[in-house]
Amino acid sequence: MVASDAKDFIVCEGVKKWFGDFQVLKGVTTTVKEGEVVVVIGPSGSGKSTFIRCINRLEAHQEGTIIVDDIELTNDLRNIEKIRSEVGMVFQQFNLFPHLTVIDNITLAPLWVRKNPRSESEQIATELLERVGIPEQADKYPGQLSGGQQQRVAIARALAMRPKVMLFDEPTSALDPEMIKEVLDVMKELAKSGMTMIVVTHEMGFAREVADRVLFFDYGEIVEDGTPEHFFTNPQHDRTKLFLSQIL
Amino acid sequence: MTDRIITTDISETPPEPPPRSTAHWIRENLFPSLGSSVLTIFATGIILFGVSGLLNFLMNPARRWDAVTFNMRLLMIQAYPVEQFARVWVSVGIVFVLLGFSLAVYRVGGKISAHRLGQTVMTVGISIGGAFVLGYLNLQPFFNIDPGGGSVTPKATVIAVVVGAILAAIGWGLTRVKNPKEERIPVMAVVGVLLGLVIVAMWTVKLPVPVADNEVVYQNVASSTAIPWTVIIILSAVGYVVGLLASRSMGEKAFAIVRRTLVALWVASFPVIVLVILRDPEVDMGKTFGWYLPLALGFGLIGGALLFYLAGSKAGEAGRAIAALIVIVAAVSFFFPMEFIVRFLLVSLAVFALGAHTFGGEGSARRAYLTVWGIWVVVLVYMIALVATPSTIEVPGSFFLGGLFLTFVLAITSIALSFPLGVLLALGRTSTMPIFRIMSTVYIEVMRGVPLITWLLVAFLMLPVALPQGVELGGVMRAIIFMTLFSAAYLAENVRGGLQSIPRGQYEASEALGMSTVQLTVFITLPQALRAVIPALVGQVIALFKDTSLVTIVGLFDFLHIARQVIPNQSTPFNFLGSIRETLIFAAFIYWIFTFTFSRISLRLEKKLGVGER
Repeated sequence: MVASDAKDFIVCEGVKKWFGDFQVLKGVTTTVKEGEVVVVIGPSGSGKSTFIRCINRLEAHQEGTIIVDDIELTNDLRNIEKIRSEVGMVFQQFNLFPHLTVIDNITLAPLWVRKNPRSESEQIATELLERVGIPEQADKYPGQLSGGQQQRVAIARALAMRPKVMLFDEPTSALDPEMIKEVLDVMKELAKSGMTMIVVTHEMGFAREVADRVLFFDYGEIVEDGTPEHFFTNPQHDRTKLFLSQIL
Repeated sequence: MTDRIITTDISETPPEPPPRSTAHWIRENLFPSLGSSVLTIFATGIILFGVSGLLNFLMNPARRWDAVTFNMRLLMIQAYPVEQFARVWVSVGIVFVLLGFSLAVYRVGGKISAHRLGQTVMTVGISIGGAFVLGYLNLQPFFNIDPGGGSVTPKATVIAVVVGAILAAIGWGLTRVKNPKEERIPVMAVVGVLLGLVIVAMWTVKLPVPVADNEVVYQNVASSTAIPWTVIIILSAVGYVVGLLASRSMGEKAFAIVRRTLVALWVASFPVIVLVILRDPEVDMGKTFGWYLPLALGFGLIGGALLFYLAGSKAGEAGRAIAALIVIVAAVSFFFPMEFIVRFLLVSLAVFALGAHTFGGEGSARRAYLTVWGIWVVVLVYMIALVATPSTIEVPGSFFLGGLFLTFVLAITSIALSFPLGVLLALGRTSTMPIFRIMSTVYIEVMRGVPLITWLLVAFLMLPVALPQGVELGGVMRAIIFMTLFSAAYLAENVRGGLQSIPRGQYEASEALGMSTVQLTVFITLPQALRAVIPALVGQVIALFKDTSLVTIVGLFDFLHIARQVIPNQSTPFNFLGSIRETLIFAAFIYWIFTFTFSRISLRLEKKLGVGER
């Protein structure tokens, strides 16, 4: 649970974004507090992935403001690199570096971006592999691992930078049903440890169990914003009701 | 993590394939349909007539093979002074010993089954016997490359058939040993036996040596090559055994150091062989201690101290300003007269200063960066000093090397230099900065749009005019420069293909971790791109190796020039006028041996690097 006096970590004000003429985000305004776990759900093409990709500027928003840890995201390269090193991200397709071993995947950024000594980076990496449950895979290449193991390596890789917030972009969508659980278990453990998290997912069970808050996106807007209890049992908006009736 | 419940394994071994008769195999693979049967017969005819005609051509008494054997020294290294030949043998020896050692360290060559070896030996035996029988039959229906024909004598045919039959019998015997399909014969042992046979052959086989015009006697291979080759082959075998022992007895970590040293030795061997051993520079002690050594020390230490500061994480904005200042100093240095070596060092320092923030850090990264700087300064100063020192080898003509050695120097130098340039051009062409993109694109298109032979003519006719006064470049240097520039353009396009094959997610993942563009390129995209284009790169290396023969047009005495121009025009001490067909066949054979080896190496590399691929 989030302390009531927790600091606002991510503040979005009227964020708008277009792909060509098509408006993906139509003025998103929301705040994420430190330690909060926010789950973003919504139909395909509703702009939820674009929204979290704006938070570490993999996509540039065109109007509105995004402030992460008191730094505003602008075109200033130094701000972007600073924010990126504090915001961890996990992708749907894992995006591990196929030419590097698991341990090198994890230590690369701490070594060269954080400038940590190698021994320290390797120690952290070993601890993280322990934490995500695959310490024995350290010297393998990503191609030799299962999807679930790859995604856990990707989580460890993001955590190795000691981020203050973690973004998850549909982390289980590319996995076999048998492997979804092992990734969700890691994410649950992470949420319990107090990490600030924004998770785009279709896993309703995860949302119900772990989320502090659920955002429902549709047509580039936040339609519903509330606790999981409120969201699943007493949705206000017709669109939300329709969505829930189709998936539950 | 997840516990798996494994059910009882009920899988079975695959069924034995039903036995097939040879007739069945022939029907299925050679005569499956009417059209295929026609093609099979047609192709067989071409092979039979081709082998017969070629053999008769090669064995014709009119062939002057003595033109090749007598001029072997000329073909290999042109006019290198005979009394200095120890240098050549030492060079060849270094390469062979390194080769033997590397083959063991990289565990080249697995094991094959007696069955497979037997089949190969049988094939060789049957081919030799069959070829001579075909030659004796003298099938020449529609092309007549050997007027008169009948050059394959009955005696030669009988010998070949007997040898072929013996080989076939040995091969057949091998396929009949116990467990013939078990893979237990090391390939390298077979290679060892073959090399042993080569040594024996060198001491027994006789080659034609001319004693007078159109009169040859058959003598043993001159002892000037038999002794050194025997020593070199034995040494390389020793190198192999030492490597094998090292790889078996050493720990993983120590062995990794051995492998790294080996790579360094290979890289160092080429400049050392060419610039030190073969060139034998006349070292000027005064200049070495009075100029080069202080220069290296000064740049190494003062530059090192500067880089130590810049590579630390505390340098920040002040560091960037200092780096920019060094870049300006390096640029300005080109407007003032000074030795080129100083400019090279200044430019290097500027590049290192710019990269200091990206590749530096605390502890090991910082130390590694400084080490690289130190090595670079030493290597750069050493190489420039060597090139600038005159050679003591007295050779008629402009360059001390010729023949196959010159071909190798041209090829290896151009490939080594064009590699970094090509990668830079590829990065420039895919860059988001328009100035780099346009410059690289224009360069690549212009360079590729003009034939290499034209560029070589430019190098020889126009470059001397364009150079600043007082700067003179030798012919070999000019050829190398333009072959490098040309090859880099092609390399760049290959590498660009690799860069474009990298999925978007790799960029996003690296950016999300906060990597800068340079780090992203060096650690993520470039290694993957280069791996993806290895086949194309090796193709490029092979092409460049063969393209070196174009320098014959500008009068350099490379391998082909000697084979095509020099020997066929020789009239003293023996009359070899018109022996061009023999020399060209020999040249083609030598080019083929090396290009074929390259392509085999490439196959191996592809397999090896495929390990970590998704």
